[in-house]
Formats: sequence, C-alpha cells, structure tokens
Amino acid sequence: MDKGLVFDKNSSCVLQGFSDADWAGDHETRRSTTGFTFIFGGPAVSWGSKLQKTVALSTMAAEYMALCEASKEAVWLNKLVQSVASQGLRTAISGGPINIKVDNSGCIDFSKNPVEHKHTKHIDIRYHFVREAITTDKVTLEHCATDDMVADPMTKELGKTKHDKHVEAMGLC
Amino acid sequence: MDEEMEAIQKNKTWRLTDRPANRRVLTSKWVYKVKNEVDKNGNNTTRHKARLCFMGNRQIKELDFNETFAPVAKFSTIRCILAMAAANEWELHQMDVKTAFLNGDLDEEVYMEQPDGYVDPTYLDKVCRLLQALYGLKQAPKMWYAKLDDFLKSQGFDNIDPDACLYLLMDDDEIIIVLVYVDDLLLLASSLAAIYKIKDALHKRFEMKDLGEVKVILGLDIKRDKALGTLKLSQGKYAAQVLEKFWMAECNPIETPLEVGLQLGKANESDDALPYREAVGSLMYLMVGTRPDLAFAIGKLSRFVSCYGK
Repeated sequence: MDKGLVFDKNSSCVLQGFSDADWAGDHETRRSTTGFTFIFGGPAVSWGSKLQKTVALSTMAAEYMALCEASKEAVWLNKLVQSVASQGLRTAISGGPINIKVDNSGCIDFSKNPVEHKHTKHIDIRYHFVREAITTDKVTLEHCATDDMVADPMTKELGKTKHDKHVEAMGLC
Repeated sequence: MDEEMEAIQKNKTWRLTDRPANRRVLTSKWVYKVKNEVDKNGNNTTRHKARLCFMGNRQIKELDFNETFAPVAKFSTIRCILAMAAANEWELHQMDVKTAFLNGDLDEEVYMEQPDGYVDPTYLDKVCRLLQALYGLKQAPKMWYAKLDDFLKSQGFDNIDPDACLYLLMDDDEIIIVLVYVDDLLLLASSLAAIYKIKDALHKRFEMKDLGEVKVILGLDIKRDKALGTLKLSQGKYAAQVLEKFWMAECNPIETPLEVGLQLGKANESDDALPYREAVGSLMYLMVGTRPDLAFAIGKLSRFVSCYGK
C-alpha cells in the first residue's frame, strides 16, 4: 500500500519511452488498448492506458495508434525537460531525440518506410505524425523484446511474475 | 469570521455604493470548515475556518463574468521536476498563499449585498461593488492566476512554454523554479539562499504561509533521503483511506490488480446502492498520482461506470 515512485540521483536523467498495444483486447467491441510509459530519473513520470477509439485491423495498426500517442507525449515531455535543462544544469541532460521502445518490428519498419498504401485515413494521419516526429529528430524508435516492454501492464492484465518485473522497472517500490 | 473580514477589508475587496438601478445584486454566504492541520513542529492541530463565499452559481455569463479558465500544473510536470530535483539535489520548499483569491483584480462590474453579520448600520441600503475577487466568484481563479503571473514575471521569472504553471529564473548560476497549483506553491532551487530570496519577495507581496521543506503536495507524500539521494513520491495514507471508505481495509491483499483473462459483463441496470463510481474515482486519483501499475485495471473498470452490478 505504501508503494511509491522512487527518484534516485544516481539514475539516468534520460527520458526513455515505451509504447505498446493489445490488439482487439476488448472482447465486446474488439477495440485495442493503447499503453505507454516514460521513465525519467529512475521511475515512471508519465503513463497512459486507453481503449482506442477505432477498431484496428492488425496488430501493426494497433501498435501504430499507440505509438502516435506515445510520440505526442514524448514531444511534450522533451520540451518540458529541455526548457528547464537548457537554462543550465549541473548534471547535463541529453538534448537529443527521445528513444521509444516498441516490441513490434512491423510497426517500426512501417514508420520508416510505408510499404503498403491501402491505409484508411486515420492510420494515414498517424503515420504522418510519427514520421514527422522521427524526421525532425524528436523521436527515435528501437525494438525491444516483449518481456522487456515496460508498457505491457498498461495494455492488459498480467500474471504475477511479469507484473512484478514491470512494476520494478517503473520504479515502484 | 473576524479574521476573514479583516483580510477582506485589508484587500479593499469592495466599496459601498448606492443600489444600481439596472444591475443584479447577488448575495454571499458564510461557509464554515473544521480543518485538521500539521503545524511547523509536526503537531496535529484543529482550526476553525470561516470563509465568505460569493454565490457564483447565480452569475450569468457575459453579464457578470467572461473568461473563467485558470491553468493547473500537470502531474507529469510535477514528477519530471521532482526527478530533476533529485538528480541535481535541489532544495524543495513549499508555500501556501493565504486567501489567495482575494488578491485578484476584478474587471467586470459585480454587485453584492452586504454580508450577513457585517452590515454597516449607517448605510443599511447600500450594496457592495466588488473591486477584487471573492471566493465563489466564477472568475476568481483566473484573476488570481493573472495576478501571480504578473508578480512572478516582474521578479524576472519566465513561464515555461509546455506548462503554464511552471516558472523558471536563472540568477547567478542559481536555478529557481516555481510550480503553481492555485494557491500552493512548490519552490525549487539549487541553494537555500535562493529559496529564501524568493520566499522574501513573495512574503512582501502576498500574505503567505511558509510550510518549510515539502512534505505533501496535492495529497502526494514526498519523502526525501538526502544521504542516499533518493526521493519517494507515494500516497500510502490516501490508499489506506480509500480502502477504509469502501469497507475493504480488512480484505486479503492480492498480488496483481486484475486476474489474467478476466471478462467483465455489463449489467442491464446499475445498482445505485453500490458506491462503484466513487470507488473507481478514488482509485483513479491514486493511479494518476503515483500508481502506474493500476492504470490498465482502472481503465477497464471505468468502462462500466454506467452499468455496474454485483
């Protein structure tokens, strides 16, 4: 019950994002769930878990919707941290783009090079948003294994072992 | 009550005028509250508070008020700033503005009857023309924010673009940050001297209460271990209160928020006897404050706020 977020001066002051989705997780509507988590200075500083507004036709589309949400948050968080950091801090904070980890390689490939163009408009708009965040150096994407996906508990209920592992990664103790 | 009237008179909140012919005259009302507080020495004290509230619910848009929006700091901002405070070992202090809303200047023309118990016997017929904000007035929060914004900018602070409640000042290599949450101010600085400097300036301008090193902000407990360089943000007390409130304090703890593969079905009719919405709402505050592990579970539960049953 007394669990809380623990910030530690020895932890890295680089924002690290995680973006994940659970495809068609809601059995009644078959809509997918978006999840994202940002770690900074030890624990999670920003997180979100939301049922997507539209039905995604593939895991990739669901992941893509989530990535768009995560990118929006990344851009905002980076702006906030940079505007404080740029005024001069004793410990430097990296000024580069924010790295977001994604466990779906199809999603990463698609954001770099859209191979297929038969997309609906809502995917298309998100494609352009994420793409712009990448080309303007606001966000970089990196693949990670599902087991290391800290945003996993934001998208579905997990068993104890996995849940506890991610709780620790979120700096909750 | 006298304390509140004194603050009101000191601020020249209103001036007595003749009853206007073509304007509505609104009323006010006294609101009383018993407040449990922790004083500077860590003792629990009880204070009886009286507040004169303007009946803002009778105000009409565009006649008595226009804009009412006032920004509040986001939880993410607070957490990011705390992360930087821990990493850079900044000092963290807290202040509270007494009767904050009485400080706002009023642009609109608003009239009010003289308050109960404080009617001027020589001018029984006169009414109060409000010059400054009162609690309950729709535009009071906005006016207070504007006033504080002016003050901080006059002290050289810059408003940080991503969050309108974050102010920053660089002064001889010293960084000073002020985070505003209505009348709660969180002060961060690289040295104690800088903290005292901004505290002094605030004391001179507004009626302030110095709360010393920060212990609680917006119901989030802050525990700092300077030797280890850690800062813990938690809501243990709040979590316990929530369990108490919903008669679950004696329940057996479980290991994860939701079972794997749990399917919830909609009930045809909501059972209004169950405090379901209240429970989800209380947990929501816990989740947005310090508990990302509960986010998914609460999202799932909140899909059923209009159709819950046993």
